[in-house]
Amino acid sequence: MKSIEILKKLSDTNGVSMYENETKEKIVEIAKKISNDIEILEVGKGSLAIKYGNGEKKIGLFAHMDEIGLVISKIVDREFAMVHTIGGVDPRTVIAKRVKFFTQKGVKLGLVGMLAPHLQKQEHRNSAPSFDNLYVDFSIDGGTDDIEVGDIGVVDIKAEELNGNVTGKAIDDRAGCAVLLKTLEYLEKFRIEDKTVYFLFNQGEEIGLKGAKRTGFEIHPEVGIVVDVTFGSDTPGHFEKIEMGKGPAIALGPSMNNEVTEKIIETAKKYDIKYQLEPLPIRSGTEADIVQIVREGIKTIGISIPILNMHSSVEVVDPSDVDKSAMLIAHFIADYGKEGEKSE
Amino acid sequence: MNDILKYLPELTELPGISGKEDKVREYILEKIKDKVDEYHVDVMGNLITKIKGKDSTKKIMLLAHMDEVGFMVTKVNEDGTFHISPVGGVDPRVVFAQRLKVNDEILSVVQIKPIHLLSADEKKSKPNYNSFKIYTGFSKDEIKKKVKVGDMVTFDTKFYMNGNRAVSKAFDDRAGCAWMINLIDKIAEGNTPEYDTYFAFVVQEEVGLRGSGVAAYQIKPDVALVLEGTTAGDYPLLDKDKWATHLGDGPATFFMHSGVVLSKEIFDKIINVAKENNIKLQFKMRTAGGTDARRLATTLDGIPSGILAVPSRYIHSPNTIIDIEDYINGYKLLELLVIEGRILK
Repeated sequence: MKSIEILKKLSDTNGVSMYENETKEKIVEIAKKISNDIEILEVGKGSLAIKYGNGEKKIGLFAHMDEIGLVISKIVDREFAMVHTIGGVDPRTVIAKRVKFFTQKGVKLGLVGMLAPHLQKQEHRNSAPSFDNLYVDFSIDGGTDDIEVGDIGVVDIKAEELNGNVTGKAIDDRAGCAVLLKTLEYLEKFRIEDKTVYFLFNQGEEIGLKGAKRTGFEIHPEVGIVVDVTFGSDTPGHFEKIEMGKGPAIALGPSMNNEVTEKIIETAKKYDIKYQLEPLPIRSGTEADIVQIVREGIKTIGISIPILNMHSSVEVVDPSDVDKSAMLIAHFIADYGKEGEKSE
Repeated sequence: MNDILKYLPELTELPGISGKEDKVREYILEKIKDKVDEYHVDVMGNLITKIKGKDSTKKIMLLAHMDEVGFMVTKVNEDGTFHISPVGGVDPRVVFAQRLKVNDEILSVVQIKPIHLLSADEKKSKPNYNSFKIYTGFSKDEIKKKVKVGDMVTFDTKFYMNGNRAVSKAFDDRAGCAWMINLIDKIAEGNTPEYDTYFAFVVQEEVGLRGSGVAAYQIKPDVALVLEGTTAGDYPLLDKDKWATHLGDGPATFFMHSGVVLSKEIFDKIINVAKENNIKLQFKMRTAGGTDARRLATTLDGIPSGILAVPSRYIHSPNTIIDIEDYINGYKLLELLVIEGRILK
C-alpha cells in the first residue's frame, strides 16, 4: 500500500491518548493486507504488538498510536461546554474549528467559538485565548444534552493531499505508525530468519510515554528503534535545520545508543538512503527517553520524520520521508548482526 | 430540504472576496435571469435586476452584498509559501492553523510554530498577519506558476446543518443574497409585487460599503431594505445585556448603527408587520459596525432605509452559526414587506 494512503487512513482514525482502539483496529487491518506472516498480540494493557519472524534476535520498533485531543471538563448550559486538553494543545490552534466528540449517543459536532473581537472585553482583545475563556458550541448538533464530562474529542478534519504531501490532524505519530507498516512491507522482501521483529504501536505517548514503557518491558527487545516525528520548521538558529523531503532524521544524544546509531548511519550510507542528523542534547521528547531505561536497559535509537505544524490539525508530512525511513530500518534489520557473525 | 434553504448552502460555499465576486454573481444570475424583467451588471460588478410591480409610481430597492471577508495573496516566497493580508475585517486568531483555498482550487495551510518551541510570551501572544506564512507544498518553480500576488484566498469551509442550526462561512451576506433569490422565485410563481422592485446584489461591502451607493444611484429608489448577516454575541463570556443579537430570537432590525440613524417610519413598519403576523423579531442592541444603509444615507439626496438581518454567531470567521428559524422568519417578513408593498404603505 502507498504511504500516502496509509497516512491518510491512519490520520483520519480517532485515537486520543488512552482511547486508541479505532486507530489500533485500522493498523491491524492494514498490516493484515501487507503480510500473511504476522501474529497480532495484545501487549502493555492496550497497546499493540505485531510479531514478524521467529529468529533469536529480538528487535523492537516503537511508534505511538495516540494523538492529542480535548476532553469535556464542564457543561456550561444547553449550548456550551468547556474543555481541557489531553497532551499539549495550543488553544490558538482550535479556535474557529469544528471539533467532534465521542459520546454515549454517538459522534457530536461542536465548534470552538471565539466571541467577535469588538464584543470582547478589553483584556481579551489583544491576547491569545486560553481554555479558561474558550467554549465549545454544541448548538450546531443538538446542544449539550448528550454531552458528558469526560467525553473525548478531536478536531473534525479529514486528511488531504497537499501537492504530494499529506496534511491531517494526527500525523504525530501516525507517520511513525506508517513507517512501521512500510517497514513490514519491505521486510517481506528481505531474509531475516535469525530475527524476530516486534512492531510496537503504543498507547499514551502524549501524556508521558505510557505505552512504550509497558511494551518495552513486556517484549524487552535487544535493540529498540523509536520512530516519531520532529520539527520540520522553526529549528532554533544554533541547531542543524531538519527539513521535509530530505529523509529520516537520525537522532544523536544521550537517549540513543551510540554504537547502534553509528550502525544505522552506516546502513544509510551503504544503501545510499538520504538522511539527516538531529542533535538532541538532553531529552529526545520521544519514546526513546523511556525505552532506553526499561528493565536492565535497551539499546535504543531514534528515527524521526520531519513534519510541519506539529500538534495542530494542519500537520504536514512528506510521504517520501516515510518510505525512506522504512527502507533504512528494513535494511538495518536485515543486516543486523551480520558483521558480528563473521567475526565470531 | 425546505425550499427557503434551496440556495443558502451553495451560496455560502462559493468564494467571493470584495472585488472578486464573479463566481457568486454568476451563480445568482444563472438562478434569476429568466425570472426578472430587466438585469444588468454595472462597472463595479453590481448585479442590478428589476421586477415590475402592479404600481410603477414607486420603487423599492432590496440590497444584499455578494462579497465575503477573506484574504489576498500579498507576497510569494521561493520556498513554496506565500503571505496574505485580510480583505475586510478578519481577526488573525480565527485564521491561525486553518486550511485556506487559493482561487477556490489550491489547498494550503497556515503554518504555525509548534507549541513545544514557543516561549511563555509567545504562547500568550495574539497572532498577526505579518507572522503568517501559508504553506502549499509547491516547489519554487510550481508556486510561481500557481500562486500570484493579488490572488483570492478564502476559508475552506463546507455547509453543515442539524436541526435549527447551520454552520458555514459567509452567511454575511450570502444569507441576504439567498433571501433575494428566494423572493424572486416566489414572485415568479405569480405573486406580482405591489411596487416596482429592484434587487441589487452589490459588491465590496466589506471594504467600506463601496458597491451599494453606485447601485442605488442607478436605481433611484424611494425606499431601501438592506438585507444582512449581523453579529450575534450570545457567548458565555459576555453578559446577556451586552449581546448584540441572540440566535433564535428572530431576525434583527436596527434603529441605528455606526454612521446612520435609520428611518423611524420604515423601522416602525418592519415592527408592525412582524407583530401583526406573529413573526419573531429582535433589535440589534449594539450600534458598532455598519451596513450599506450608511452609504445609502449619503447617496442621491439620501435614501430612507430599513435593515433586516440574520444573527450570525462568530461572524467573519470560517465557521459562523445561524439559527434556521431566524433565517426563515426573516424571509417571511421580507416577503410581506415587499410583495404586499408594506414597507411603503
